[in-house]
Amino acid sequence: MTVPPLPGPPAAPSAAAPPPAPPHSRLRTLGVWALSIVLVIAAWGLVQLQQPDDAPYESFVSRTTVGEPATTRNLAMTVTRVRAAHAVSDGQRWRADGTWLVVDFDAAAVVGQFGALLATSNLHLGDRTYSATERGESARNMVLVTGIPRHGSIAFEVPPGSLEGAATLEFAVDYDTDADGVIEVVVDLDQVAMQNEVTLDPEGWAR
Amino acid sequence: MTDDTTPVRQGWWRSNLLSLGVLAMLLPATVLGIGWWKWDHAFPGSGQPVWAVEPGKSGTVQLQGATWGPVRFKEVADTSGLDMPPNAKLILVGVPVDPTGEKGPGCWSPKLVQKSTGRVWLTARTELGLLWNDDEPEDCVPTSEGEKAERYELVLPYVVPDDVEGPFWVDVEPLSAKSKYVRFSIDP
Repeated sequence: MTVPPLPGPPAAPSAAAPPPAPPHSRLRTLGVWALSIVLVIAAWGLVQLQQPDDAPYESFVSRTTVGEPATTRNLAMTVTRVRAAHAVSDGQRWRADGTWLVVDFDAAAVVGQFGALLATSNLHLGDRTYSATERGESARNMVLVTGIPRHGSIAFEVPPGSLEGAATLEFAVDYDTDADGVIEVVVDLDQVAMQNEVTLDPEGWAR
Repeated sequence: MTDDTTPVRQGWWRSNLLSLGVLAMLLPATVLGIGWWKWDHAFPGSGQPVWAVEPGKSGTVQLQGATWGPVRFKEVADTSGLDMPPNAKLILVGVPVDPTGEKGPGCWSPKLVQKSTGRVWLTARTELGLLWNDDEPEDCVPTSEGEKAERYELVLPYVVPDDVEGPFWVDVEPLSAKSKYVRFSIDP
């Protein structure tokens, strides 16, 4: 008679002699560490590539200078002249003393004039921003006609003695310039002579 | 535990049949519901013009309590007396409006759209140096309290650059017309 062998795990490791880690296991540990480090570096790289959170709302800026045309999505314009004076008048009933920067321009819509006005017209001087004066008859909020430029003037009142150095004019067809075209015109105010009084150009077709 | 896995899996599907059925209904319902909600808010709810109503053989369109058309148009050759810009032409469009109800419909500013590019023009009456004239309205005429709407014609002067060629659409979008608007084709 033969006694059948006891059932049991055929390859049970002996408790007395734990096998040493085989060389390929150490290699595997190294591989896991290397992969982890690569992933961390890749994540850092992605963070470097990532745009800031408000990047989708940034404007598309076209920069130009006085006398040079610029075009964005729905605004084509040329600042034709920049004047500075101690007084400004609209040639009709309104006149005001102060320190004024007067900007003459031709502007048109490009694709459509539904809701297209020269709604944004700002002056960035130093770290301050001025919007065009609402007084007098000016081309602030001028109607833009598709493909046909209209001419007009806007005026900015600024503190006395501040018209020096570089300034930037900003124009857009809406108050909200998020993710839309903006035209920026760089002006060297040191080249703009101070006059006693200037008159705003009447609004009309550019000729 | 059992050795045979197949009956177990069948049992899982069977025991979760109700939840699975509900899921199969909820998933498409979610997609359709959100889709409809977004569409409703993006288009008809927001009043965006989506569906053009073009005239048939009669040349007229019935929309929002009025009969629109038939459209008249021409390129004006004699622009003397008008403040015209250089290198531009004047396209004059007439759209008769015949209100069918007591009150005439209101509308957004009628647009001239170049078919090939989609560029849009609005009427340029003020820019041409003309004052508002009740006999030549640029916009839909509102009906005053106690008055009955009468037939009139929209007179729409558009100033476009010389090099802009037709054909064009003339789009008139009545107020609260559930995203429908009147669209005439012209080629002056």
